[in-house]
Amino acid sequence: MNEHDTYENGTPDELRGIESALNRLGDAERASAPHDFEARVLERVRAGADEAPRSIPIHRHRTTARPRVVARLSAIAALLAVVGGAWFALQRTTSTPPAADNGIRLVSLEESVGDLLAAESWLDDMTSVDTTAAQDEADQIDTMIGSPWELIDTLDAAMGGEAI
Amino acid sequence: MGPALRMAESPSELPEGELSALIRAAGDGDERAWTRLVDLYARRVFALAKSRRLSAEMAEEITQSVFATIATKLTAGDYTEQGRFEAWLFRVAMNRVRDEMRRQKRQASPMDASSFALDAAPETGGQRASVEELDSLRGAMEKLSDADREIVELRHHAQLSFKQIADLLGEPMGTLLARHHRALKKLRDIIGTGSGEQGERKADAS
Repeated sequence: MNEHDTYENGTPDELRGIESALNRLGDAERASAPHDFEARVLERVRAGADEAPRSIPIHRHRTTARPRVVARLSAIAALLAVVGGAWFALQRTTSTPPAADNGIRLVSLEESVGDLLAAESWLDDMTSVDTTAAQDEADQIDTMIGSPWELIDTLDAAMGGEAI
Repeated sequence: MGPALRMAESPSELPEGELSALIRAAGDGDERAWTRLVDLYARRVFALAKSRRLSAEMAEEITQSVFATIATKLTAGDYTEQGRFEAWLFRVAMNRVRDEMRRQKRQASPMDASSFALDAAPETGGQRASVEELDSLRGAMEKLSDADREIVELRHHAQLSFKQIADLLGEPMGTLLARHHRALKKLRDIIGTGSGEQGERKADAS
């Protein structure tokens, strides 16, 4: 323990117990480093990888920007196809004999509604994917917020610790 | 080299000028100098991260990241030795710990259960600290303000001198000593009353 500079006039008697306990806690935390800990730190120094600490993996769906754009375009195309199909079907049924008219209209309407519901659930999937996209963007912002610390580290180093 | 021997090492015991020589040699890529620096400081950085109840894996990752940053700056000649190496190193370490705490708070990622487990207490000076004592102390530290907690951690986990902590935090020595004194009293009061809210209120009032 770093006991070379305790209080100028010594730690007050009443606090010596808690100070010793804190020293023991510090010893315990240092001793709890895993096996071959130093070897792995040295390995990282050799690798020279200067990067932010890796987060513990969190299981969640992640997508890249390109698939999201493709999915959005596909959803829009599907919607246009459904609306166009419904309109085309209605145009055709106007020239159908009156006896079959109602039945055909009903089938056409059911198909259109079914297609619309499918498109809606697809869009819903897209929206839920977009929440992970927002999370990705928040991660990036977090990294940007963290980067000033890197800048301070660099400044500290350049000034030999003067900046702190 | 076993943990007991590593723990016995302290930079305060280094002959004068040895740390500066080590830093210069490390900057030149000397493997033995790096081994020595890692032996001197890695566990102290690890303990600083671990005291925030980060998992052992994350505490190690932070330690590795800190040393990677230090290595990059030293070998690139970006660091000018002015006797503040330790303050700089632990400043980098504190920044990494803060970043990780912020990230975990936002993502609410699950902490490793082992970080809550009672660690085996080491033999220190022939005394074996009781596991219960250490755990109650860990709990009491969480009731300190962030500023007071940092001082306690830098002092007792990172083993910095008061002068180094004052340098690092940019506080006058008198203020720092007063804050450390107040933090110890608060911890004593919290533990003395079973770390309950009553103890916390008593500590706040003192």
